Amino acid sequence: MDIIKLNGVFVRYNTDWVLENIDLTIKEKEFLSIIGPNGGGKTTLIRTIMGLNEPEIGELWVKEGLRIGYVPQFTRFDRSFPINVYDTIISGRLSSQIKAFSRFSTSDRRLADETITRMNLGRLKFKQIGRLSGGQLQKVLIARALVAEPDVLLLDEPTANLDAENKEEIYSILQEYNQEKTIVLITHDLEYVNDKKREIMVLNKKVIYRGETPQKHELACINGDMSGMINRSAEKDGGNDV
Amino acid sequence: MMFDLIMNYRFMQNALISAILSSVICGIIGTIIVEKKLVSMSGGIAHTSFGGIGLGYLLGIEPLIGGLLFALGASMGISYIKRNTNTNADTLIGMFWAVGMALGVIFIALTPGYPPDMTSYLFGDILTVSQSYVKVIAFLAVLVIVVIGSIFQYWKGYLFDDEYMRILGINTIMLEYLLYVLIAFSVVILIKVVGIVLSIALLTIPPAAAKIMSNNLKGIMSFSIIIGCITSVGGMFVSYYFNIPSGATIILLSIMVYFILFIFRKLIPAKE
Repeated sequence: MDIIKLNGVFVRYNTDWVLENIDLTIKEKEFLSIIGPNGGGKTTLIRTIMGLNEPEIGELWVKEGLRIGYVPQFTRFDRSFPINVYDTIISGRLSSQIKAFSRFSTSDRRLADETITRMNLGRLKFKQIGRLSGGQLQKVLIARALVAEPDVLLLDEPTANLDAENKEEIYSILQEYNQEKTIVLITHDLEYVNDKKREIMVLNKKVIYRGETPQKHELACINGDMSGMINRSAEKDGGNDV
Repeated sequence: MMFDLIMNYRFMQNALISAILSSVICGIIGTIIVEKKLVSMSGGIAHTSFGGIGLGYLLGIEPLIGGLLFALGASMGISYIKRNTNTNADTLIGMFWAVGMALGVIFIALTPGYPPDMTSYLFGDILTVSQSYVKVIAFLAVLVIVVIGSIFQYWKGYLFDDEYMRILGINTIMLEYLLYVLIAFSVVILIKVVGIVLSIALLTIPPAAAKIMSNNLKGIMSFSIIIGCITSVGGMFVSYYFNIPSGATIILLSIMVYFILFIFRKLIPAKE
């Protein structure tokens, strides 16, 4: 079942078009990886889906009542901010209606604890975020998104700047959650995308490619840097796919 | 002797109460200013208010009311223009800052009669605070405690990651305007205590010192209030005994406390 649709969407910052004529359909429980060069509009695309950017032209349709969770890049955070893991995660349960003197309910706290356990963050629960490693903070941000029980999880390069072990852990968490949720992921990890024969989208302002990990003949339509990146990555995996 | 001073002199009682109440305001709002990195914004608001003080003199109304209107205008204006144009906040703050001061100088020059002494507005004088002014500070302190305390979790979320709060559907624009109004009120209230030039120091030094001692938001606010009380009450007495300006004394004491805590923390690191 379709849950998100973009029809001929154009988005611009000031005078520069960042997205041009984007047609995109995302289905329930899909696992879509978005790849593309820097400045190719990947972050803008997921910001548009969340309603943070307005399409200048075209239409965005989101299934009524769809709950969207977002995991931003952990590198943009001020790590000196005085907040611990638990408070960061439970902030995902804040209701959109601000009510004075309201507190987190028992079910909010239970959900936060369950998510912390499921993400294996128990021993870090009261640690300040400034004392976490990049991988740990990334898991905390994923937990903050998951605690709101979203139907779709949008992640902006969750594995950037992480070592192989942390990357593997993040991907296996996403794999597990994909059993019940839709995952849309911006990534540069082409090895991973190729390995899993994932549904991918190559974005460079326009949709350059959409489908399973591209085959040799399909790469003909992927121009510029992306073609090189995908080729190299696929060759490392044996080269048969390209 | 300190006790006698307070018991016998009304102006000392007013000064003491306003020192404590402004420490409460500074501890809470100052922590937010420091954590949200709004220090130069607050400096801009404080200096813009000088234009309103000048206008107050020119029109013959209470100068601080003029100052407050200018401070509110600056905080709303900077926020609105930043949101709706591509001018960056830093540039805007600089412009408001300079225009406010320039207008103040011109309005005072246009004021008929002998020019008023602006020193107390620029550098403050806690020993001249009136009883009705104490009531205004008390009202603001209660307002700050209620507005921040009643939705504390939202403030914490907003300060840490306002974009995420927006994604959750929370009205962050309303929170931002509310915060800027509180900053404008706080800055203007502090003009009597430490003056325009030094108000920013009282909003930033106690929270910076408090952060050495605590690593959670409520803890930083609480330590900041305590540090503010110690330095402002201490500064008040020191300035009385040595007959030196109170605002500057309070600021220098705050900086001393900051360095003492800094060295203390270097010698005895915090536990994990």
